[in-house]
Amino acid sequence: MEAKEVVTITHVSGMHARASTKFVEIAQRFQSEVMISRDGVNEIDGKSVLGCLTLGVEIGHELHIRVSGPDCEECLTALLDLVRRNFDGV
Amino acid sequence: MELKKGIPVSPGIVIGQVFVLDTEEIRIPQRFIEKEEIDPELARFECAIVLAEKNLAREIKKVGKKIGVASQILEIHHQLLRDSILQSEIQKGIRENQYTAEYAVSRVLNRYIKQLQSMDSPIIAERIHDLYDIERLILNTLLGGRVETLQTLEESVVLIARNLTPSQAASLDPKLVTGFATDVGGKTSHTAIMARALGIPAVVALENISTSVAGGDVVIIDGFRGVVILDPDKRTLAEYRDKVQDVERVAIRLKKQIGLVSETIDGYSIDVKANIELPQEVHSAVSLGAAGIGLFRTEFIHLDSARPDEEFHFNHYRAVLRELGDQPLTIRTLDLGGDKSTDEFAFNEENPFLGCRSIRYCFSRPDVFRVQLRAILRASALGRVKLMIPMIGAVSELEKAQHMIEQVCEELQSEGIAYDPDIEIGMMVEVPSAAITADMFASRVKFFSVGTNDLIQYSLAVDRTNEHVAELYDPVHPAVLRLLVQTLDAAEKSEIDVSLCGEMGAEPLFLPLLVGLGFRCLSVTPQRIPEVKQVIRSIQVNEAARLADRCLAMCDGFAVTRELRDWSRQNLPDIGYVW
Repeated sequence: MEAKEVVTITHVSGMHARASTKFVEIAQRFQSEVMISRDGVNEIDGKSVLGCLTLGVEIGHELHIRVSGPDCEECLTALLDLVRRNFDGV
Repeated sequence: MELKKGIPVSPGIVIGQVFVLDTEEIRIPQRFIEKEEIDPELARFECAIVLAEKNLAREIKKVGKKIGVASQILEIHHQLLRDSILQSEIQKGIRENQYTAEYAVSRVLNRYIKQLQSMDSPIIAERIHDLYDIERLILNTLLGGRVETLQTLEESVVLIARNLTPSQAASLDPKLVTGFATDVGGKTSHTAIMARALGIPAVVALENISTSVAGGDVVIIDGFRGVVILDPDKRTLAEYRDKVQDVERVAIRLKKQIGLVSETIDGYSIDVKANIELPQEVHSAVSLGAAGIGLFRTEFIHLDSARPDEEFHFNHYRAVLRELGDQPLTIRTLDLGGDKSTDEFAFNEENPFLGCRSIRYCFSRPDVFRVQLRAILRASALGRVKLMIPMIGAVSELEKAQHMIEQVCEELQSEGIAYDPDIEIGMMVEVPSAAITADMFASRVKFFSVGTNDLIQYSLAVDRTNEHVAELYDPVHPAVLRLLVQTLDAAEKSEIDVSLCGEMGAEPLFLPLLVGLGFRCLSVTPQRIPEVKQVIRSIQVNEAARLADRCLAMCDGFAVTRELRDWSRQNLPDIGYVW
């Protein structure tokens, strides 16, 4: 089971620490493995705040999210929602 | 003796013994282990993480009550502590390279710190302290209290560090840590704001203070002037001991003012309110005798959260109102730009003070502005809220802002959300054009608040932070006085309230003049309230009015200052100028 999607970051400050923390908190609620990258190739663990930070995702960047596991669909939806809600303004 | 100059971020003077807090170089006793020790070492690391988590959870609980903003930062730390990448790489270091847990932690974290540093993103760079924090936290746990920490302090010290991380700053015990000085930092950094909230004198941006001192050295931290004196000589020490005594004496005397009414000798009541930027400051403002909050700056909300949503704003306003009870609260809409910017709002402008700042920025970002307006209006249902718009220079701007407020009111009405339909809307008078045409504005708002800091610098074309021209910054320049008179006259004719919220209003020297000109409401830094009250209680209004008339006739600001000084010497002999 795998689900993936590319989303454009519209949050003004990109994925800074608080945004990354939110992202990771949601990812960790699911069993599935979450891998993210900026180019679809150099993936890092989406359940790691440090990993998210090192990606250096800023406003306007594309974020590739690939989720694999039993609850991949729900997980992807939740993560995309968060990104589109601009990380709830954190 | 050596004197180092930095940026003063929290006032006060302290003489004390140094405690150097070193986050970057905790000494690691052993770097490698034998093969048989790998498994026990992995277990030791796991234990340390569990213990560190417990300590952090306790810290979050403790700090959460004291300082809300810090607990958010500690939540990030909590997440980092259990970070999957971090854990697996540290474990790998122990297993494959036979590193000690300490060495593995230090290596992995420092590699990531370097990587983040090289990313050239100011927002991420800010987070590097968080990684240092994590390193400190794990190493402290691993070394089992062999590291001297703030928690094990027994006598009072002044704290010197390269950079105080937010969680360190939040866990300071103001009884034991009596001041701090750091190599880096700025006026708007979390640390500086917390220092002010805790009331600890602090100087930042001292470049290399942390490597210039050793534990046990005696230093003087002067949070008024922004200097730290290392190894002070006898004369300097004596001088500063006197100053500390002065400050204490004045503080004791001023405390007696707190319960007294703010009234002149001849019975005119003068409202003294507080300028604040954090909900945490309300408590001390009220206990220092503030008759409400005359200026709640909302920039911090934006500095604290890259893009705060309506709830984030609303929660801040509600927190202030809760502490404040039925006292009035004037909320100023976002005043970013000029000297206050975040990475988020950093425009590349040649002349930021004449650029897209404050209400101009809000007009360029109606989405950001609306969020704040909605939150303020919602808060108006909970207490005596007034809404104040900064940097208005033309009637058309005022009308535009008012139109947006009306739209938001209609929105709330149609959504059935409560707000106060009679909320008072007023403006700052800080752009000279507004002061000159004050009569045109007075009929359109419920109140004026004169922001003298900007009014003076714009009228005189002087940046007071520029040392080459700072002496030209003259709050009692005849032009400034005339603008104040015009503003007061216009307010009186239209029967609207007028107050003054600039730093000028907290200066004992200027108070008789301001009262004499006709100001009956001032808003100042909370710590200055008792002193302001004391001066007010020594003023007689008719006499102050004559003093103001004499000053208005003078064509030279220095002559005005001399006049005011003479007057103060005669009428306020017991006011010490320690500031």
